[in-house]
Amino acid sequence: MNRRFLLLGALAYLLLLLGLGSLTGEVFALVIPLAVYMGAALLYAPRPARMSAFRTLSTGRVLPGTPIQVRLRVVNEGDRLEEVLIESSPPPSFRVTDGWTRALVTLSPGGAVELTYTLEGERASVTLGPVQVTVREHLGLLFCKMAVPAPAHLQILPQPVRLKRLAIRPLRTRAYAGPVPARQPGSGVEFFGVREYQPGDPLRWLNWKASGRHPHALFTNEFEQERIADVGLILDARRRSDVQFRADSLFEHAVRAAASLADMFLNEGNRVGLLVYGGVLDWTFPGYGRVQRERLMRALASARTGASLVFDRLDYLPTRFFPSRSQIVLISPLWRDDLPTLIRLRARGYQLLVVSPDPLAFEAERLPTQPSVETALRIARLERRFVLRRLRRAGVRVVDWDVQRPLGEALYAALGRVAARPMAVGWR
Amino acid sequence: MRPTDRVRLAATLLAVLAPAVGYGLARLWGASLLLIGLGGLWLAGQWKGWLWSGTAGLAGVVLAGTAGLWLGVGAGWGLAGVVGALAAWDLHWFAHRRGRTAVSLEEERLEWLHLRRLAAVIGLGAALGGGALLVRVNLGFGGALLLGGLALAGLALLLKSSRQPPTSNL
Repeated sequence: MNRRFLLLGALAYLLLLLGLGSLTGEVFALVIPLAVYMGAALLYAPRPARMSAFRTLSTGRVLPGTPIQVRLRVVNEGDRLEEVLIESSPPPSFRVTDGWTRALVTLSPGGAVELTYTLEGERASVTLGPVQVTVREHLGLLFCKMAVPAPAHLQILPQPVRLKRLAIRPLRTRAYAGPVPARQPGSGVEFFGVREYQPGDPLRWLNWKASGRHPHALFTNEFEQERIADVGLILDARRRSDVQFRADSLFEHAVRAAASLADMFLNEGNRVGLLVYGGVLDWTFPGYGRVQRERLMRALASARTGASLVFDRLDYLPTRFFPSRSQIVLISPLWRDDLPTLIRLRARGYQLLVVSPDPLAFEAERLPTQPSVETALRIARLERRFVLRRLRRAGVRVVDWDVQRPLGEALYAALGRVAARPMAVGWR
Repeated sequence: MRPTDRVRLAATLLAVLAPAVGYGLARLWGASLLLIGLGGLWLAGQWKGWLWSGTAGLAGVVLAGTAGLWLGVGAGWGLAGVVGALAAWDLHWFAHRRGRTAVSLEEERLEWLHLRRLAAVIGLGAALGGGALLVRVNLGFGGALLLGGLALAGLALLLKSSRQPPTSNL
């Protein structure tokens, strides 16, 4: 029953009471059409219908901005339905670029209706919800609503940016050949050291200078082995680390950076894992190659910011997920209270690279130009500079990234060379 | 113009012009003009998609028809107005439901079925209402009390159902 029925009922009873009160018979004649209308609605009142729905997508995984065609077929498996409203609402972050998501039809037993529409959206991992069906009699006074399930899963993966090779130098590498210097002698191209000549060594590797100083011995050059490494990506998904302005979000830039770095490290043959640290911990076990790339992109597609009292600081970072002395890449705007945890990680032998999207540059251009705002920004920038400097002094490589600039540009400007050994590791 | 739009226009004109003529014949020109103004507002609301104009139109015509009975307006004009207002109000909502959906799916068949149902209901209501105007029944105190009791019981049912949570936003 809805407001229309109540309106008719109220009018009918008002007239009835007026007629009875004034004993004017003609008033009852005016009530009759209203009563017949309501009576017809009650006579043909709809019952819950038996329906089934099938939804197919042109593709279940796409990049942002790619159109996805959705085909929805709704079948009436029961009695005749006089008027049926079928609504298939798109998820909140999607927009309909073509076609209709609603239809008003009449369905005979076994009858079906098909809706086709096109969706576009940004990064997401969603299951399209049930189809809302409203069955009415022809006059539309009485209705019956139901949700008919038609699940379909859709993922819009983040679009990684192609990055050139980034030099990393973890203390420990894996057994397979790769691009990372392994701090061990072996086959490679970088000079590692000199040792005594052993039969079988290639003659072209002989170090004549060293051999010349020792008349009775020969020395040969050693090269540094290059192997693959374990790389752990940590994406900071704490809600307080996100800055949002209309449709733009610092977290989206961080996700794209994580996708780009994952893509780059996997292309070089490294073993890459991902931890999304926010409201919950979402861990993608390390792996190699294209299958792992797909796993990581799907995990990033469903990454969301969240708030948690437990994971509000980085103190509870589960380091057991990361092999000891491996490379960790943290993508985070950074807070001052993150410093002790990061320095502890460095002290435990992890090679740490922090890619920090600058929240101040992101927000500054959206704030009004006022003296108080300028002063606040200056203080915040000083604080940020202090945090970054402390990290660099502890041997952490830091990329201060203004998200308006390409990520590759910021990375190679900050990391032109592999970092020297840390001057001091500790935190007072 | 679709068939339902043509019928809606005709019903709206009947709804306001019938009681307006009745009031005019009773030399109540102010009320006539008010009804014509109400009709103009209703037509504008149908064009603009203002649903509230339909509700205002229906309530206005029904109340005007009722009030006219005590002001010397013939009951037949009021009955014609109520019948027209009911049809126009129904088709106004039907156009609203149809307007926000895909327009190519069995549209003609749906319209035809709706008009057929509406014609039967309105026709029956008008016939019974017209017949009621011709019949004279002496209602004693007991009969009036019974009718009053039924009316109150029905009102209580209506109020009870209105307190239930709505299952539609239409």
